[in-house]
Amino acid sequence: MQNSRSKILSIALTFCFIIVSFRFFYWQVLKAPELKEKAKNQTYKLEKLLPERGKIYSSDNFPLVLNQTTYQLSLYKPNFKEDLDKILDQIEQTYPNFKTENSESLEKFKNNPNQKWITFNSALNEKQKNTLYIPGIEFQKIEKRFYPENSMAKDILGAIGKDLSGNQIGYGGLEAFYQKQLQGKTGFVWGPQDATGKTILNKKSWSSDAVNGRNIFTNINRSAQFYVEKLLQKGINEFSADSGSITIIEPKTGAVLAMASLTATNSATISSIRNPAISNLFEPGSIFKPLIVSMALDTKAIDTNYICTKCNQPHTIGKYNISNWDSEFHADSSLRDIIKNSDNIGMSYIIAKLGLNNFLNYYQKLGLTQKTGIDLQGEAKPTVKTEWPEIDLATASFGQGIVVTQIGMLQAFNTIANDGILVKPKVVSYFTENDKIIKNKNQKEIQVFNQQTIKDIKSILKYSVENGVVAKMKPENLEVCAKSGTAQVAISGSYENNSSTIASYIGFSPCYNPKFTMIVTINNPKTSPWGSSTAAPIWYELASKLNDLL
Amino acid sequence: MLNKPFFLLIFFLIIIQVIFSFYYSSEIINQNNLINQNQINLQSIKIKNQELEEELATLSSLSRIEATASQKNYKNLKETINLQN
Repeated sequence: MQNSRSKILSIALTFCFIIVSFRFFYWQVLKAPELKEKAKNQTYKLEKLLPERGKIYSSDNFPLVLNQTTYQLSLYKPNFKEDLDKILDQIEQTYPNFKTENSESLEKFKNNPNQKWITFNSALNEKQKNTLYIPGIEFQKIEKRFYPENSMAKDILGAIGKDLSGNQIGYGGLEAFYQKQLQGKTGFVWGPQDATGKTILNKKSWSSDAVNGRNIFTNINRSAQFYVEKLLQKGINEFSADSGSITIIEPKTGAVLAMASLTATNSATISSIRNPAISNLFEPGSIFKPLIVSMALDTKAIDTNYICTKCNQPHTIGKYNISNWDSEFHADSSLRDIIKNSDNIGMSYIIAKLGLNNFLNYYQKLGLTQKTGIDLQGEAKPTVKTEWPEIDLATASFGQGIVVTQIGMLQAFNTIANDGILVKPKVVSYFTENDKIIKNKNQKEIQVFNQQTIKDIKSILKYSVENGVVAKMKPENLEVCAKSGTAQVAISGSYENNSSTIASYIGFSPCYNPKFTMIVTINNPKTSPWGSSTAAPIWYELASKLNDLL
Repeated sequence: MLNKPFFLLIFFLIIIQVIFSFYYSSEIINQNNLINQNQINLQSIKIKNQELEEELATLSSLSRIEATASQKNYKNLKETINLQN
């Protein structure tokens, strides 16, 4: 009996041993790879090393955009070791006005026993955070952009937001255009972690350093930008305009020295991600005339001795009559008087001599059929007509029926300032990456007009400034080649007598070896609709400042 | 008889192994703590540097110069300086 018991016991034990052995085999051999992977996932972790976003500087190396690290404060009731009021008093000592800033949410948090957690919008700095090591207070690090010059050059700089993965992403301006260069490269550390979750570096660890974003050094002249914004706001208010834009470039290089767009109240209707100077299309009006005269001179369709013998009456094309802005007629106008008087009739005869094919050829060469390629996000592409009836060609001679962006118009007009050579406008001068300087590539330059044409048109523009309606505004020490323009805004494809206007003034100074080319555009000025009475005074006030600055 | 030294040897080897493993693991922990501390210090210096850069830029910004310049009230020189021949 005893023998059979011991037999049963030994069989049972052997059986158990076999079962256990099989189980071991199952876990240690069959399930080994899966469990090994699970163990690795629990003990190893991948940590992201975030790069610092590149900063943006003006031409005098002043930071226009910096990075700012702030901390968002949260309170967690279960971890409190003292009374909430005492904790709030300590916060108030470190961060004055905390209670007033967050009075509403604090009241709710105090009175609701079910609410355990609250996060406040107040941004604390590093020093403030370090003084608040109190149980129940938690901090979350927030990376923001900081603008030492406040809203200066906001259209150029753009803004940043977050993408779907929570990463910083640029919207508009330089922030979006140079997103790739500014964002840098995220680094990683992969290795085992200790009980507190910190990575332990050992032979099996793997890491790749974060590469900070490139710093951007722009061509923006801070003082010029400052004056541009001040005088533009003053002008918009003085002339009761809806809005306005100013852009200044360096004639030889196309470097953008200043660019601003403002509304009457400097309100948020113009957002920082939409820059009207590059994204709004408008009919340029009479500021386009010098380009048509240059085309006609360049193709020898006319010469400087041209006389408009038919300018004593309206120019009739089909059912349309072309008249002058002041309803006056200038019989036997010379070429320079056509520009000085901004004579629409004279211009319509000149473009007829130039011809459609020549016009379209130069229109394309001047870059007016496409984007300028300026290094800012949001540039609009001008729409170009496919059919050109005679009347449309005639109205194009005084800048109506065609559309351009402000930057496109400035690029085209700058060919006159730059001895007939078209240069692309450029905001960024160079980048730096770990103290290494990376130059921003120059675009190809195109010779549009010959030297004689430039000499002739400069002489005409100079004469027009010195003998036209703006002569009194011009400071004596300033040599200016410029042209005013007033374009009616079309309503449903037609121009009404009471329709609003876009008043502009474009030019460069001095006429030979110019320091700058500038365009001023004022939308719907109500004190006077004319470019010569609204945009021109702003242009001249800025020109005298720029003459000293540049 | 031979068993005694053999067991002693085994015992000492085990003790040495335990001491070694304790020493190296604590060394790894110490070095990792040092790395973590240095990383925290570096981060803190970076943020301090960022704050100083921010302060310097704010103080020398055109908008601040403009704001403070318009608030200045200069005393008339004649009131404070009395030049005598």
